[in-house]
Amino acid sequence: MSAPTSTSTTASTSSTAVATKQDAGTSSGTQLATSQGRTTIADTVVSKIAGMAAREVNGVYRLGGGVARAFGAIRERIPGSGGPNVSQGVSVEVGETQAAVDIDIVAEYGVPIADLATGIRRNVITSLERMTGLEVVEVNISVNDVHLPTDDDAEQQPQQPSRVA
Amino acid sequence: MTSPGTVVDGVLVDGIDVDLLAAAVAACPAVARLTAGPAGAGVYLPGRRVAGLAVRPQPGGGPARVAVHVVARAGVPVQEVAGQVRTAVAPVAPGSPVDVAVEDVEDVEDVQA
Repeated sequence: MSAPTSTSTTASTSSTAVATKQDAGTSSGTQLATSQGRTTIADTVVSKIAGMAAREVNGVYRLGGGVARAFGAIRERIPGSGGPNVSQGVSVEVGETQAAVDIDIVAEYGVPIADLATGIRRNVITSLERMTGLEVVEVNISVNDVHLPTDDDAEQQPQQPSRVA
Repeated sequence: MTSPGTVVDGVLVDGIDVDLLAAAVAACPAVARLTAGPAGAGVYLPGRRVAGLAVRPQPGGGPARVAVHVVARAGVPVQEVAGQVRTAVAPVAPGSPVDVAVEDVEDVEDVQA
């Protein structure tokens, strides 16, 4: 769902940037639809910003749920795929002035999930509203897993160097 | 873990400066320190956590509810700890209900050592 589908809209953002900049001083500032032109923001832009904002909150181990992570693990190994996907686990719906975001996360063990979700929601909304000017109507967070400290040991064991020459 | 280029708001959480709040509580004579406690209480911010504080918006609107988790100084009655914390919170978060949780008492041996 969060696949980069709308590539045609990205080109128009740069051309209308001037109009929004001129408008910034006069009216409400971050208006996307102005009399001198319209600014469109692609889904990818919104999902990347939301992904970065969610991931940097303390207590988030990583983004994505079971299926997204399994697919992401394969995707990272494909040459030319561009490495880890920033917007993994994020799906967005973007309208002309509003956006809605769904985020899948894996929380760290010991973190109160309700407070963590509040923190994520706050950071995602602030980042999105500041960087895109879109009004964020909702941020749905689903916690798919909790990362235990013992999980690290299990993951690191296969990476140990071989003991025999 | 804060990455450059991502816009991060200041420390205002629901209109409350959490760093100022933490400093005000930590300055109370009856408070040894703020603590996250076993439940990991804290304000979860990009790249860091302000331990021992929780600011939760109230369902009906109005000032956010503040929870403070502290380690008390040895020998101070809990009521007095709570009183000092409430007095310290009031100017930083006017009108907010304050829940004080005394998670632990500072060990006397630690103080003497």
